[in-house]
Amino acid sequence: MTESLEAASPVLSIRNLKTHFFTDLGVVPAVDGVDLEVFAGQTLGVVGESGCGKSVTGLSAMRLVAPPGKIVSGEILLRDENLLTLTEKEMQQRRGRDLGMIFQEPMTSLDPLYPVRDPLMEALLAHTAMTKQEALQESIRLLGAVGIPNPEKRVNSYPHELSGGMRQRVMIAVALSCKPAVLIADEPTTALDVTVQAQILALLRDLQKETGTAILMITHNLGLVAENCQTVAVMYAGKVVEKAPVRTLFKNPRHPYTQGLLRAVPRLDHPPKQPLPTIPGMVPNPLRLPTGCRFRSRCLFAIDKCAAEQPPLAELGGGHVSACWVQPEFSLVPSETRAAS
Amino acid sequence: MTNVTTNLDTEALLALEEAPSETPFQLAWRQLRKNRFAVAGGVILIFLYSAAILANFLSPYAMTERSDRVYQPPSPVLFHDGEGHFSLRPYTARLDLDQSTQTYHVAAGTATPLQFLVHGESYHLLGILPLSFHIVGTHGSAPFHLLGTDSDGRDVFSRLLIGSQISLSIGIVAIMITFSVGLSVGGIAGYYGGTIDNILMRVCEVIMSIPQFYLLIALSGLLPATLDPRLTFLLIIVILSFVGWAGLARVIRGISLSTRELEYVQAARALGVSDVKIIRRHILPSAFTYATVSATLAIPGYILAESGLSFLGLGIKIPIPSWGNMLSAAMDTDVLTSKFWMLTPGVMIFVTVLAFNFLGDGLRDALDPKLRK
Amino acid sequence: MTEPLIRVENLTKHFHSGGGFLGGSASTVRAVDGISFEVLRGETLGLVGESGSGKSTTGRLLLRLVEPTSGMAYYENQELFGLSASEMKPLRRKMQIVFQDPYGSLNPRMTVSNILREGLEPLGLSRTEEEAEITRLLEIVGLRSTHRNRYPHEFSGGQRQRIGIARALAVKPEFLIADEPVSALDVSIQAQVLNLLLELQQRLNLTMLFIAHDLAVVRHMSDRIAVMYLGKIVEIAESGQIYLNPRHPYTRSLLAAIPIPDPDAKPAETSADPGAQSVRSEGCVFRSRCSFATDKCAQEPALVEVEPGHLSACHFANTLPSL
Repeated sequence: MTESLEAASPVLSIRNLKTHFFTDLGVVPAVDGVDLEVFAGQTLGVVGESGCGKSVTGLSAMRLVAPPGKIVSGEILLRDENLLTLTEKEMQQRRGRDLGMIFQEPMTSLDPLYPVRDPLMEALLAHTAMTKQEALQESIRLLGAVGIPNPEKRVNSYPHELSGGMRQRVMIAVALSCKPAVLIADEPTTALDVTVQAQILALLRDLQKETGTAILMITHNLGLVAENCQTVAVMYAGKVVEKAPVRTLFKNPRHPYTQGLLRAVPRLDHPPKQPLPTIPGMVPNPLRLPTGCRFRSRCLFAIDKCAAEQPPLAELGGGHVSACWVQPEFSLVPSETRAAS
Repeated sequence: MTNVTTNLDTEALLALEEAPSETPFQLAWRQLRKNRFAVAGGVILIFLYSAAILANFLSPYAMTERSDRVYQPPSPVLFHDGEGHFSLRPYTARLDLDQSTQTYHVAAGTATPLQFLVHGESYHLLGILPLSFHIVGTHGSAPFHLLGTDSDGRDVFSRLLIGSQISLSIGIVAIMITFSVGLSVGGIAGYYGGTIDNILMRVCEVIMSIPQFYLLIALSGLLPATLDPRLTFLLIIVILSFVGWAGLARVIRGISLSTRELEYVQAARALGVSDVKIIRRHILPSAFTYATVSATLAIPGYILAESGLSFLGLGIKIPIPSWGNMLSAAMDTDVLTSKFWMLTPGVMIFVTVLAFNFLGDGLRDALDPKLRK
Repeated sequence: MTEPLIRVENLTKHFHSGGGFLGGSASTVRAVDGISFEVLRGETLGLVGESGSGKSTTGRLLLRLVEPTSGMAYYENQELFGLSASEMKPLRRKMQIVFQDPYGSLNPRMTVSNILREGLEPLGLSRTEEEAEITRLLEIVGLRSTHRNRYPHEFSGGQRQRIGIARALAVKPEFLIADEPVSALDVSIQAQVLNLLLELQQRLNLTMLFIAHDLAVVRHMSDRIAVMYLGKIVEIAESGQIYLNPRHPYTRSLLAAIPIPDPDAKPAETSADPGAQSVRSEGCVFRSRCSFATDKCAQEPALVEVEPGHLSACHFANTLPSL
């Protein structure tokens, strides 16, 4: 993560992406004009609550959006190549080789009928010139690299013989087998216990240091973002409402939604049994989005302008953008650091 | 800040209030209506069942009324009076057998207007209302056989209608028995689990392990040929249900087993709601949804099984008509090649089975909460 | 000192799997393995642990939704497990539960008022009294009485959880078990439901057992916390003590693993050996994953007081290095 890397051009850039779902009840703009950039060796966190469009953004980047969903417009650039203009066959070659993905559910993302060597070798044989024997050796090496003990033996194990954490390690090995430039991790540890989660994230950080893979990490957990990402984008109702380097986002968020999220999380270092500052109300119905700012009905700072006009992402300097007409200052009332005792 | 919070919360709740309310039933109904195949299936079934109920009224002849017009092709329906004058009232004409070629030809000068609401054989509509009106018929020398006659000169159209009463009701009655046995056995096995479950499920497996059609044939073979046709009908239903309940019971058991673990059932138990009430209020309704779908999809099986048995001469016996035994008359090549109207029972079975399957698939999609999202 | 409302002694639940009708080998899962604790009147005891720790089973055992293998549990001085179903009925009005899944916990075929009516049934109210109660219940959980004729699918996750809470409160319980009540909810909705539970506890003077896997949430809600691991309670202490001065290596690894929403905090630590499986071995349950383990740990440590009100089941509870 040197300066030169930061100045480099992004490996993956998503430009003005719109992915809409054409349901019986109407059009749901799940992703509605999103711009994101992921750099080599860096992790971009995409946070938001369910339905904000963060997962659909990840699937769009892989071109895996299933009907009734459809990418309506925008560009997804892998280096200089627009993935949206490729044929499905060309795209298949990019998946696995240039773009890897890991999902939330380690229980269902591996086929229970095949030993773990199968998905690994499948990826290797499809995208490299390896022979079967070489692919098997490489599979064993990969399992070792993701911290699975006894990889020579485990390569023949079936998914049910592995714990959830071990399965997610296998998935990571599969996703990284062809050293993709970009890894999309959609809630990679949500289904796992917290101690296992810590191990998996440490593994991802280590692998990233080795391979320089750019990671797009989709999560609802602000804690994960703080620890694992260099840049964070906060999504709400299909739009990025704030994007900043991680430290800026946590210390000086300027969008009321980001501020509300940060305050609403119970913390170990806050006084217990006190009411948490909440974000009132709930996410608007995606079929009937309000005019102007989509957050305004829940916003404590809303002014008349918020109903009239949708706020654009305003530059605040240092790579910090926030889509708010008010841009209120932030304070997290109680002390912030983890008390040292 | 707290005040603002409450106000905004209220706003979100008010928004909910404005949204139109929809019961789960309405939701499913809306889904079902969107499925064109299911709607078509439903309309066809309503039509068929209405026709079966009104069969006596709709059929021009009694089902056993014979004539010497053997294998007469369908009578013509003409829109002229036989002398070239157009007529809105349909006419028919007599078909006479040419003895030398053994073929029927329209006999000249026999054009007869079709009469509506004619007096004929008396019957009881819906089993209670004594009537002697038939919707269509002729006075005079030309008989009206819309779908021709069979080997004994009986009107195929009338027999098809009367036969539909048996063929269509057999599925419904059989499924009702299967349904109640399967639902109770499955419900009990699933809710109580343990030994009860073990014993009941092994019984189901034993029944399911016997080849079904063999069991059907063996049991039907035991019925004495001289039995009252109504009794035969009932016994066949019993036999069909006996073979069929086990599969449904197993599925219902699976559903109640998983419903029992659902948190709303646990919550009811935590509130001290009795087992009987829990089964009635929570377990059975959720199983019922599924069972409705599987019943709709199972009815064609019964209709086909009855047809199969009757076809083999083991079910409903001639002269009482059923689609199955009527079809058995269309077995030899001569009939198959030259007497196409004898195949109409087969067409009816085909249409009915297809309609049930369309409706069943539609119901499944409409009731499945997983697909609804 | 307040009296315990709930007292649990040596509670054990073993689940047997396999071994059907014709025999066959059976395996035993020791979901809850001889735990003892008390819940004091008016307090919230947090029960925290990872999947498979037995925390949810413990809650269900107390309500006899699951029958225990052995052990005792007392409500005030009434032993629960010896009671017949009809003797248990009056106690069911005092102990209620709120579940995790806002989608699975409400019957999709019943309207809100019918769901609440099921809760009110044991009270034997008249029709008008019932209607008045339904209005009152909806209002205390922040819903409007005009929502009574709607079906669960018309509500959001957070609103459904409120309906679940209203149902549990229908019988006016003294003791409420909250089994992962917010883990299926989004952050902003989670805070709303946690606030509601805190407010209701104060207003209705509830005693709570708050079960969750998220230590930060549990700490926010509880006066005292019991940490469970593979069916055992490994540590019990006041919430502040668990956080500031954990006396069991498992509690420490749990604390260290929690990601802190602050980029300046040190990153979550990973516990010892990633390959170590949570397998049950002789002696201490945490032994196979513990970085402090010695031969002594082959002997099972008892849950003993290490300082007033602070219990730990570790041979080295007093000698662990401070955080």
